[in-house]
Amino acid sequence: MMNNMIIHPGILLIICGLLIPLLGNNLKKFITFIVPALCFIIVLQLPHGMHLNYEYMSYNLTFLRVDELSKIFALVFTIMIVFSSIFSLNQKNKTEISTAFIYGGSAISAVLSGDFISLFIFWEIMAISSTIIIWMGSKDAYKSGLRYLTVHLFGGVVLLIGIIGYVSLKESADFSLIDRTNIYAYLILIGVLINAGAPPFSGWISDSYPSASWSGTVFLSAFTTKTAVYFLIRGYSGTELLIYIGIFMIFYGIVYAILENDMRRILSYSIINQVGFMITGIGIGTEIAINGAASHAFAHIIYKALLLMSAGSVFYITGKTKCTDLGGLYKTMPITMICGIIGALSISAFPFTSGFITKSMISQSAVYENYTIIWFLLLAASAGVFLHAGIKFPWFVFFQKDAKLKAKDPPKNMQFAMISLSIICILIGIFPNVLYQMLPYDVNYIPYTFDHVFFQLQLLLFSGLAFFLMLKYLKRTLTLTLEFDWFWRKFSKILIKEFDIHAERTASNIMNKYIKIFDKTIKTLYKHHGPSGILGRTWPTGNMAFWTTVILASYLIIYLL
Amino acid sequence: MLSKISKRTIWIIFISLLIITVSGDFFIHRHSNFGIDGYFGFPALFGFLCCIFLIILSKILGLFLKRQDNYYDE
Amino acid sequence: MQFEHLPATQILIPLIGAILILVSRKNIVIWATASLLTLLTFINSILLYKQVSVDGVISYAMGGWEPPIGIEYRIDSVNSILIVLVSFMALLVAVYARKSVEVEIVAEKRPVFYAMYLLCLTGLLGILATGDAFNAFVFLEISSLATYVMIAMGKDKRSLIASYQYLIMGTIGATFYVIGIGLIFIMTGSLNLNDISEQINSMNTIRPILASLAFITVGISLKLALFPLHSWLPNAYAYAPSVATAFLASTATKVAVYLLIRYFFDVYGYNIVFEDYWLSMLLIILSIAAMIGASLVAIFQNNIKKMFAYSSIAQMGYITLGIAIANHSGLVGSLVHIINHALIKGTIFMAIGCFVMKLNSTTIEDFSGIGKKMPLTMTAFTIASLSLIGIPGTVGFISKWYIITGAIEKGWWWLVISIALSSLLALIYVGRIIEIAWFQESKTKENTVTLSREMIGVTLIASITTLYFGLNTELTVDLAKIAADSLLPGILR
Repeated sequence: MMNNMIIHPGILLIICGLLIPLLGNNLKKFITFIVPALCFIIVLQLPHGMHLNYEYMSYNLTFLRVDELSKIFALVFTIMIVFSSIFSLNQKNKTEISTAFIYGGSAISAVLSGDFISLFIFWEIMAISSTIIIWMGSKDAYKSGLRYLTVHLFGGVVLLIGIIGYVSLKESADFSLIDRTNIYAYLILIGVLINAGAPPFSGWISDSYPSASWSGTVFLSAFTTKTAVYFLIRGYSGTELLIYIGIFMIFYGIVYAILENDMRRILSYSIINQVGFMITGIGIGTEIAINGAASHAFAHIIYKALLLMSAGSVFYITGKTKCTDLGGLYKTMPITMICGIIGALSISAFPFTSGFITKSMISQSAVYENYTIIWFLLLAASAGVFLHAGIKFPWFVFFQKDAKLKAKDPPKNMQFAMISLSIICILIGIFPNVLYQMLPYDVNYIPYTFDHVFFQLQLLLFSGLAFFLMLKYLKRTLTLTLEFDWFWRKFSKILIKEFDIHAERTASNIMNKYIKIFDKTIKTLYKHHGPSGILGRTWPTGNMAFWTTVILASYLIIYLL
Repeated sequence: MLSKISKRTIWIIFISLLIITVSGDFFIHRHSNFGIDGYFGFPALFGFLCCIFLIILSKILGLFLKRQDNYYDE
Repeated sequence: MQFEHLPATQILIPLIGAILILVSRKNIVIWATASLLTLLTFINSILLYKQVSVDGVISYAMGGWEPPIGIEYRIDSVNSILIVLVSFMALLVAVYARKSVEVEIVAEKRPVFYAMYLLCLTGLLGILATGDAFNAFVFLEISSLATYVMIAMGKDKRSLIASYQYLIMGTIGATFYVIGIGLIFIMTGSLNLNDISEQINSMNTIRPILASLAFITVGISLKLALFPLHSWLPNAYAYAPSVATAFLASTATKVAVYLLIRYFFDVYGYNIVFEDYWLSMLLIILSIAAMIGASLVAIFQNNIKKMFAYSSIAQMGYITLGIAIANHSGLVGSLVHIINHALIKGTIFMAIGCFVMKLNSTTIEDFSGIGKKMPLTMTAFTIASLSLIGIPGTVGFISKWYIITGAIEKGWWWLVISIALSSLLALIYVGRIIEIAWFQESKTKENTVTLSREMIGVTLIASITTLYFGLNTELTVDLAKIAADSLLPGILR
């Protein structure tokens, strides 16, 4: 197709996103179908190497760094956009798809960046565009989006300072394994972990993702957290700290999801849980562990999108998201239910689904490195995943009691998207080598042995047994569970009460208090001569003359000391 | 279609599946990584107990951290 | 083309323009003259810059009298870019000015306004170009007096008081400056900057020199609105005519900080000024106070012009911070930010001028929904505001990068945190405007005054420059590096 001319798929997507609002309806639909697919093909054909260099601030930026790792992430991102765009065709808010293109495009660009600076630029574009997607969710989404923006801008600042310091130190902006002997590496790590949803910065995922629209959440689930995962793989493989952070995230997600009532919040906590698996793999850092993390990211994006599409369809049709409101939809929304179940089985790593062939590599790597406790924890977690997502989600949404909701299966395009993703989940599960070929390192792992399959089946089915036996203790309640972000949400409410918009008066009152003190001093000094007496009131000028004198005096003292 | 099948039937199918998967342990020699995981029915028992434990843990945590839905409403 | 008198014509062209305008009556003629002459000034500045980049430092003796007795105009890598910058901003604002001046200033006063505009430009360019200390004072006063007149012409009655306050403070500042020069003259017998710097190098008793430094620093600090000598600025920017604010915000304080840089690094030299950490520390503390304090006050403002006036004070804090850090990166950051901030604030105040013309109000609440009614203007405003926050891809990002690098190189972590904090604060006050303008329903009725094409056009062009120089860094950063190299002693490069 192209020999010397290389098109940057991410930037192409961003530009299309910017152009979409200017197009007519039919052209819009056409672009929505064609461009993501085009990007997919472009990514497939990208030649390995470093391309598209640019001189910026005397550093060398590389906009296209193509190797197995960046390619596999870029690829799954494009797949994600293809099917999510088809899914969200019925979204009335036409700005959302445009912003989604920018969001996805910048994510693709970020993983294809070969240097810190261009990556940071796209990182920030991702933050802004994802915030806009959240804001378009509903009237209430405004505050939640604002919190999201604050967290991400804060993370962005920390990341930036780390990058500036690191780049100055290394005198190069090239992005590869990060040297952790300096503080900037840790600043960068914190910035990235915020985006990955690591506690204590995990509140934003469950706070903001469900605030977006039924289609918006599908887009949001893929990019921010997985770009962070990519960054960690590229820069921090083998950082032992990450193993513990990952494990914490895994169980954090499970426990909170068990307690949660809103189905999309359940799936959001599930994101934290699954990303935890990836981060643990990155922490272990061996070839099979990294393979596991990367392939798990791939599989996760697909089945999480599938689950959120299933939930999104339910939301779209019934208008309800809480488990307490839902149930009995297996009758009225069979396709949605089946796709939802396939997604649930995939996330649980049920044999013959994508999750089975990916997550297992992470566990296996723990075996090879003799991380006994980690291995048992991962095993317990696998049980927990089935518990909170594999069964809980489909049960409460589609079965349970009959909530007598008026429903039917969603429009054909949404069904098409869900069915396609379901097929991909199963195909990857049945033909693992398709995915294995794309991984950074050679794969020597064989997932399908009778041993593994039966092991997993026992694990999952008996977890299911536990679920049904404890069902009455799992009755959903109209509650939410407090997280770390309580500290700055409750506190900030108190602070805001004190400082509202009319605090200009407060601010100037405070300043005036100090000014008054000096005013009095000046008044007595200048009572007998000086313009302030003649003009009849205290001018700030007299004030400023005082300050000028103070400053001058300080300088003089400093020099003459 | 599904509504015609009674709850009892579902339970019977389920229990049968459970028994089948456990009985696989008779025929298959499981490769044991850390000793204990090679025992008969280990994943079944482990999965079951872990889930019970996780549910109990969540409940306890919930005692402290659960609030009404509109706790944060502004 | 080797035209030797470029430094002289740089000053003469706007001066002649001022005189020409004073004798004109018709509005169109006045505006056209102003635009034409600022264009000529701009062309002159580019030619001058090209000469400097080829020949190195240009030393021009005014009237043929050789320095150190005669007045010397000395153009080098530092002031040549700034001359281009100031001329450029003057040109933009002059072209922009027509409708705005029509609406805000009475017919009889318009010639005076434009004349003062060009006179102010003359003064500013004179400060930039001159190599003589007293000559700088003369031009300082010329530009200041012209500024006082311009401010007083604002529609709001408070403009008179604002002008008066500025007059008092400005005069005090100028006086301090003159006292400083006087001390130098006593010690060195010379008023020529180059000459003075050579003499200071070989001096033994430096106490009086340090005292003169103190006076000059305070005098100039008043002019650049360094905290706590800043209080004249918010009122001056808020109540002056929009055109005056746009021009002043983008030039006057920058020229003042240039003068400070010139004295610190050229005349006195790095060794004397930054020998012990006292001055650095004081300057740093004041800069941080400006960056954070002024940003905080900006957040709570209800008057949009005052909000961005405080924002200017905060941004000047960045520049003085870079100077105080006094290493290569910090100085590059300051120089780049001088250019960037001129572009940013010029755009913002021009956009505000458009808004004010349509809405007849400067209260922020009245701006709700303006994004839908005036999308082009608001877009220009938004782009420039993103630069204030320092979003990558805009000019603001570049200057922040360098100043942070400078702070990191010195290991002063609290500076890095302060910079980050003030960026977040800027985000808040900018966010307020963006939220109100784009995301809220409009409440007020706007009047039937239509914006002229040149107003919107110039504002948009200005906003695009904030993007262009954010992506193409060669012009600004490379130039700043050359300038910084010439200012810092060899060991620090």
